[in-house]
Amino acid sequence: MADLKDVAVIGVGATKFGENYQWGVDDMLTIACFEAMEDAGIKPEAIEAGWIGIQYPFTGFSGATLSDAIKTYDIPITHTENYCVSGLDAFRNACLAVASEQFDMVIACGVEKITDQGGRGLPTSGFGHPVQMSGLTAPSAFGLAFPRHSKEFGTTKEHLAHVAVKNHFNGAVNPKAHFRREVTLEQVMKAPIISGPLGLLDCCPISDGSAAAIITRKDIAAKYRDDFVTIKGMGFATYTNLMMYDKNFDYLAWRPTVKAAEKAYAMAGITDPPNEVDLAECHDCFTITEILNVEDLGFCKKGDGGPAMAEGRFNIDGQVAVNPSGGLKCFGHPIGATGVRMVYEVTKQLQGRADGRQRENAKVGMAHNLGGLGGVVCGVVILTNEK
Amino acid sequence: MHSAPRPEGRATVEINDQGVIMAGIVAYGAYIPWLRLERKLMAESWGIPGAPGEIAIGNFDEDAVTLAVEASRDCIADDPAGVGGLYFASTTAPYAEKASSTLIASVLDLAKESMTADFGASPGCAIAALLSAANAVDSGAADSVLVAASEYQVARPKTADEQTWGDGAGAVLVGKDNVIAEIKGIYSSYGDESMGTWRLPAEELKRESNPRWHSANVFIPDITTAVKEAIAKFGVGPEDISKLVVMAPDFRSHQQVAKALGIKDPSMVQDALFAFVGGCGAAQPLMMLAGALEEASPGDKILVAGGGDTYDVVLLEVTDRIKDLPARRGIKGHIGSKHNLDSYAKYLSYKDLVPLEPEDNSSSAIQMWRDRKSILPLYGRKCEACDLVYFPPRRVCPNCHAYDKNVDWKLARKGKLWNFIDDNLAPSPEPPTTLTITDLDDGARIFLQMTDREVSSTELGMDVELTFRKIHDGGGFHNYFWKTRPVR
Repeated sequence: MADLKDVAVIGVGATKFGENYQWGVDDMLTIACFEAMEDAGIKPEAIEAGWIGIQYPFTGFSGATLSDAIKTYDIPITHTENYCVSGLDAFRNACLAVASEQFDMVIACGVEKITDQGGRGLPTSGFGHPVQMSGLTAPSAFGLAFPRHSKEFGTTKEHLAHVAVKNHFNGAVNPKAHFRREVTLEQVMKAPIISGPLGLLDCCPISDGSAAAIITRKDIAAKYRDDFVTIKGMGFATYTNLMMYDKNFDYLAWRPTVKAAEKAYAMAGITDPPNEVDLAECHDCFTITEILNVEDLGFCKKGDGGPAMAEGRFNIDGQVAVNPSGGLKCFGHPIGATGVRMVYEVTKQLQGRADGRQRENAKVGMAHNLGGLGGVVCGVVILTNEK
Repeated sequence: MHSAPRPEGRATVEINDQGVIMAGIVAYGAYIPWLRLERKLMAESWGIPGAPGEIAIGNFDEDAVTLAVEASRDCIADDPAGVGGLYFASTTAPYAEKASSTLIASVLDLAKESMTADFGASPGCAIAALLSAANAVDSGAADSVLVAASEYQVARPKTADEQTWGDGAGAVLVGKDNVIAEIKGIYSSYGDESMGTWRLPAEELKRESNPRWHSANVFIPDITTAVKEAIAKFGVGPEDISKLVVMAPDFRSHQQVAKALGIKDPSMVQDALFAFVGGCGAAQPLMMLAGALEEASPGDKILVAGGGDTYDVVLLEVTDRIKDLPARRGIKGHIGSKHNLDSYAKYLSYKDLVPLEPEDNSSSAIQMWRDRKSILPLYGRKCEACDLVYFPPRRVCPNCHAYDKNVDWKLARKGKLWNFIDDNLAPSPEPPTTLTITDLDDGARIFLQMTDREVSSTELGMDVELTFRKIHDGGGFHNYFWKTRPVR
C-alpha cells in the first residue's frame, strides 16, 4: 500500500507570469501542461485524471477548462477552488489520488486570467454579502496584521520593505517572472500607499499565468527520470472567512499557516525547520504576509520576522532561501496557478535546474500557499530530492 | 377625536383650554452632519460673491434616511421602548416610491405594531406630521409617535440656493406621559396656490420661479397671517410667547417674517440656523424646536410655525419635567462638532453632481430582506453556552461551537477601536476607506468602515460609536449598514 511519501513529481511546466494580454486561458493552460508533459516525457494519453485550480469564475469553471485545453477527454477532472490555495489544493488532491493507487499518472495544474477584467486590484465580490464586508480589499485584509504586529513586536515599514527588495533581487534573474528588475529599499519605502503601511511595491502584481505538474509514484517515476522529487510532508488547514470578528484571533500569526505547518512537519519528521528546510516558496502576496509566515513556519522566533528579514536570513544564500523564484511579489500571482507554480519552482530547485537563482545544495524545499482575505486557508507541501 | 371649537372659514383650530389635547412633546433630538462647507469656498470656485458662514453637508454616505435615524436616536437615546409610531417628513426622501418611515422604524427597532407614515412634498410637511402625531396620540391610536424630519439637499450649482440650503435632521417624540412641553393649541391652514419651488417626478434638482416674488407675495403673507390668526384664536397675546419658532426658506425671509409680526426683541425669535447650518427645509422647524427646548424653562410658551404650501401653528408650554430630561446632543452638541471640507469639488462629488469612477457594487434584495435584523437594528447573537456576544449571527458559536444555543442580541452602539487600516484601493469618493475592527461595549467584535473622521486622528484604543449609513447603491437600491466614527 502506497502512501503520500511515495508520490513523485516527474514533470513541471509554467508560462511566463505577467500581463499576458496576448494569451487566453486556453493558451496558458496548453503551454504549461504541454511543457510539464514534455518535461515528464509523457503524452496526454498517459494522463488518467486531472485537477485544475481556478479561483475566479471569469477564468473558468469545471474540469472541462482543462480537457478543452489539452483534449484529455473521458477522464475524471476536478476543479478545485480554495482562494489563493486553489492550485496547491489541486496538487494535494492529485497526490492523494496516486497515493491511493486509484491512478498511476495524473496532472495537477492551475490557471488564472485576471487582466481581462480591467479594474484595479483583485476583483472582490463582497464575500457573499451585500454590505457586511463592504470595502474590504486584499491588501487591507492582510495589512490589518501590521498595526497589531507592530504594536506587539515593533515591526516597521522598513522591515516590510526588505521582503520586497529580497524577492525582486531573486526574481530579477528568473526568465518567467512577471518583473525582471530589482528594487531598492528607498523605492519600496517611497512607493504610493495602497493600504496602511503597504505601498505599491509591498503588493504582488495582478498577473495572468498557468503552471502544471505531472504526478505519479516513485516506482513508476524511476522509469521516466532519475531526478524526480517526492513528497516529504504535507499539511492543509482552513480557518474562517470571519477572522475580523473573532475575538480569539490576534493578527499576530496566520493561524492556518501555523496549523498546516505543524501537520507537514510532523509528517516530514522535521523538528528544526530553519536547519532542515533549504528553501521555501512562501506566500508573499503582501510583504507583511511573508513577515508573519516566516515566523509561523518556524523559520525564526515569533516577532523576529522583520529583523530576521533585514539581517538577510531569508536571502537566497541565507539560513532558509525564502522565495528564490521571486515569490508572488516579483514572479506574479495568478491566483489559481500560484500553488502549482510553487511546486514548479521547488521541483526545479531540488533538481538543480533553477538557472541563475539556484539555492546551493538544496535537498528539502517547501511550497507554502496561503489564501483568503487574511489567512483563511493554507497548504504546506514539503518536497525532497533525497531518495 | 376631541371636540374642539371649529371656527368658520378654511382654518381649523384646536384649543387646549379645556384639556382636550392630551399629547405633548416628550423628548427631542437633532442631528447636524459633521461636514461643513464655507460659503466663501463655494463662491470662490465660481468667482461669484459669497455670503459669510457655512453650510452643513451630509457626507457621501448619508441621505435623508440616515440623517433622520441619527436625530431619532438622539431623541429616544436608542431606546425604542414605548414608541408607538414613526412619522418621517422630508422633501428629499431617498425613494420616490418605497416608504422611508418603515426603514427608519426598522433601524430604530420599533415594535412591529407601530404606526408609520411618510410625509413630504413641501417643507411644511414636518409640522403636518407633528400635528398628525398629536392627533394619533389624542385619539388613543398610539401612546407615542416619533416624528423625524430631515433633508439631504442637492442644490443646483452656482445658485443662491447652493449657499443657502443645508443638511440636517430634527426629531420629537409626541406622547401623553412625561411630557416636557404640552401642546396648548393647534392651528392649520394652507397657503395661496402658487408655484414657488417644485420638482417633477423624474427630476433630481428643484425648480424655482422667482424666490423674491414668492417670499414677499405668498410665503410671508401666508405665514404671518397664520401666526396672527393662531395667536388670536389661542387667546394669547404676543407678550405671552417666550420663543417664536418660525421656519423660512432663507435668511432674509426669516427676518422679514419677524418684522411683519412686529417682533422687536430679536431674542424672541429662535435662530433658524442659516448662518452655520443652512436652511434645512422640512427639518428646519424640528431642529429649531430642539434648539428652543434646549434653552427653555418651565412655563415658557413656544410658538412653532411651519410654512411651505401648508401653514400650521402649534403652541407649546414647557413643563417642569424638562429639567429631568436626560442630556442629549441636540443642536448644541452637534453644531460645534464639525470638520470643514477643504474642497468644493469633493462637495460636488458627495452630492453626485459630478460623475466619478463608477463603483461596481451588487446586491440582492432577497438577501437584504433575509438579513434585515442583523443589518438594520444590528442584531448579533449571544451564545447561551459560553455567553459570547458575536456578529454576524450564525447558528454555531465561533467560540465554543455550540449549535443553535443562542439568542438574538442587539449590539452595543459604542466601543473601542481594536484594529484599523486606511485603504486606498477600494473606489471611494473620499479615500482612504478606514476599515475598523471594534470591540463593542457588550463584548462583540465587529468589522465596519469608519466615517466622519480625520484620517490622522485614528488610533488603536480610541473610543468609537456606531452610525447608520448608506454603503452603496448596488442592485439599483440603497444598501445601508452601520459604520464606526470617533465619538462626537
